[in-house]
Amino acid sequence: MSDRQRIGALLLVVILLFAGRLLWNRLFVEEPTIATAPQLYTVYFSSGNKTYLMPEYRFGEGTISQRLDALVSGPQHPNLAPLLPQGTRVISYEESADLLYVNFSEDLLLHHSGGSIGELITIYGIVNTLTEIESVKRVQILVAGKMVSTIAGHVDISNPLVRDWSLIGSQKL
Amino acid sequence: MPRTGIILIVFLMLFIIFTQSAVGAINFYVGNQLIDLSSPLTVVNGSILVPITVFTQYLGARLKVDGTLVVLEFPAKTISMQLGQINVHVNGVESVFDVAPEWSNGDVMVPLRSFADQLGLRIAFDADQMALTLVMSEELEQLAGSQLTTQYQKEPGSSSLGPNMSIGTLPEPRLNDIVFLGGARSRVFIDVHGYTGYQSTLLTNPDRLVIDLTGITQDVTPTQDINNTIIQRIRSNRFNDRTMRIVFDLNKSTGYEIHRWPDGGLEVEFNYQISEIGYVRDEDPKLWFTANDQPLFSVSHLVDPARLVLDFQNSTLLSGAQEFRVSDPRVRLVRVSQFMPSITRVVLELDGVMTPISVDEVNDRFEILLFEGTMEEYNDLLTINETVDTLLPPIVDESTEEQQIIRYNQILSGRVVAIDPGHGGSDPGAIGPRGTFEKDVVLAIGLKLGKLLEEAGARVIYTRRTDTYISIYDRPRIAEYGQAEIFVSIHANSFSHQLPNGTEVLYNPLFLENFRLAQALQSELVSALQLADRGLRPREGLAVLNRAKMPAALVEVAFINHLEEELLLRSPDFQQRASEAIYKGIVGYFAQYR
Repeated sequence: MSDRQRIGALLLVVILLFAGRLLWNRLFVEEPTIATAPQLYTVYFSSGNKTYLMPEYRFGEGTISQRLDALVSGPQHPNLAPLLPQGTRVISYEESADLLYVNFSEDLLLHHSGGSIGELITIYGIVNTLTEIESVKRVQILVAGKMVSTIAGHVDISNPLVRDWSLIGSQKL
Repeated sequence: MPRTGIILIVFLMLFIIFTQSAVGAINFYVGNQLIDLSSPLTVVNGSILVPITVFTQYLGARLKVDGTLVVLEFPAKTISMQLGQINVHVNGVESVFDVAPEWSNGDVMVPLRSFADQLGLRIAFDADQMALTLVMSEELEQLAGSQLTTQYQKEPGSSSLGPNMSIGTLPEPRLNDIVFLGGARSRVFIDVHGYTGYQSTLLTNPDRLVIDLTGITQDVTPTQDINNTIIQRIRSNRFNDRTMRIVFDLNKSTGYEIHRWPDGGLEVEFNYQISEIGYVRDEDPKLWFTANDQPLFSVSHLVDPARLVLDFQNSTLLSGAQEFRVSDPRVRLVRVSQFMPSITRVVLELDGVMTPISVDEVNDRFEILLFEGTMEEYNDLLTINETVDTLLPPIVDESTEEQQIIRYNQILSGRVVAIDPGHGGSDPGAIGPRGTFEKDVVLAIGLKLGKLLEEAGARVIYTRRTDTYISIYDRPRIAEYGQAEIFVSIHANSFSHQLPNGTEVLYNPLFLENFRLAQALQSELVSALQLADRGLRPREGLAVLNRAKMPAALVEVAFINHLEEELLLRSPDFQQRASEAIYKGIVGYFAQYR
């Protein structure tokens, strides 16, 4: 083996070790550092076949946008069901003191399947999820940038709403 | 590294794709034709307004404008509207639109959904494309393409709106009079004939409310001295040559509401005036207040520390913010403040839960009875007591059918009942798996119920008798104008899952009478329909129940999205049984409590 070959092999070993270290770190070392400080936040969804809200817990800081994303993308648990009508998007949101304005796309109104219980679950699923945040006490739901009286003809959403515990399933047990 | 490059490109592409779909205004289509709108779409109270030119230019309607009267002639339909009014005439028959047509920057804006309903057209919205489409029926498409354009060509000199023409022919609005109506809220009617814009502000030093009416050019009205608890006098002056200013000199700055009347007038309503608030425990704990009349209030419970919060709506606190300690086993501190210009907030700091049960007027003051426990505990207690005492009279007794009819007639004769069939018109309510519309079945039940009540001698106020859209705020108002004694809203329930089923009755738990009415209805419905008993549901956030100024309940007869219950709701026999059960519930309520 020539010197050049030896140096080449050594270099290869060094590179492999380095790459291996990086891979090792990525796979095994970095993850526990995240897991040592797990943060959970709560998102409410429809309980599926029962007419109340059930909490689902997610990893993360639980920022407003994370919670809104979770509401839009729906539950991960197979027994839970989404709150929002299909296609509903969050256009924008804005915090003003303890009041959070959330501006949904018109699907919230156009594609809601109706019923007073169905409407209550949708509205208070949104409100309860967002009032989990310490600084948010009230939620004003807007549709396409405007205040609306109602999304399905029962619940008055022209004013900010506060948390409602009575619709949460686990509270009843 | 090439991988970084690829990632960057993917991100860039995603960025471009997402920003393109999210940004950009809504495109409006009639059929598959993209429309170049003369004014942008606007949304008022959840209804989309479009320029009226959509119908003249693309659907071949002929437009006549005469003052505030706007008439659109379609081949088979003539729709006449007044600017600022939701009441319209369709082929001479009265109807109601979602929102009023309005004049904006030279265009008349009309509610799209109401028009689509009238013309039998469907509206579709594609969120990805941001495309709003008025879906054309085939006949209309053909007509709009060929005949209509020739049949309804603009006549020269007719007042169809052209591109450079605004409604310059609007007549001047006229101020006829300013009428002091009085009442606890010192109502004042500004009698304007025609459509006027207005702006209002509260000014200080001295405290006064100023309302500027635009487009009123006539002379000022004479000053009126009122000198009541709220208003000192009402005067007017000319702000500029197009604007009349009306000034209310007030004793103390106070919140107000302005309602626009259909024929153009404006009604000003000031806040209730709360002078004193206190807490007392004699037999039961009570929060009392003195005011010129009883404002509605909302209740919320806060924890850590436990607090009961009452927000008195449309009210001014004359005494200013204050707090006082109470020597009481449950209440530690009472805080009172003007939380918002029109909300007086009372906070009770508690040791344990308390719930307001009812309000009574005793010796010139109002007393709110507090229950030491939750509303659910109170309801449970009440239900147990009432079943034990059998307070409800047996509705099905041994008397013959004839005697029973006579008895019912005695109970119902002269009573006024508001029946509110839910949804209607452009709002179908929930839709069953077989395509049954909630608005249709609840109307059928409502009309059957009305017939039974009328035959027994009651007067019935219907919030709707036909397939029309009435806003949730107008429904209780209609009942109030008709001086209804009770308000019964009829709905069919729906949920995102097909399993839930059964009957429930919702009520606003703030007032005991609501609970009594709801209970009378639920017990009859459950025994007559034999569906799952989902029970009584106390709810504070429902618009029709909150705004009803009489005992009110909302009946959810059955689940329209449930496969079997949908079939039941469609059957005339079931509809008849449901209306008879509600009828008996109403009889029971009147017999027992009124």
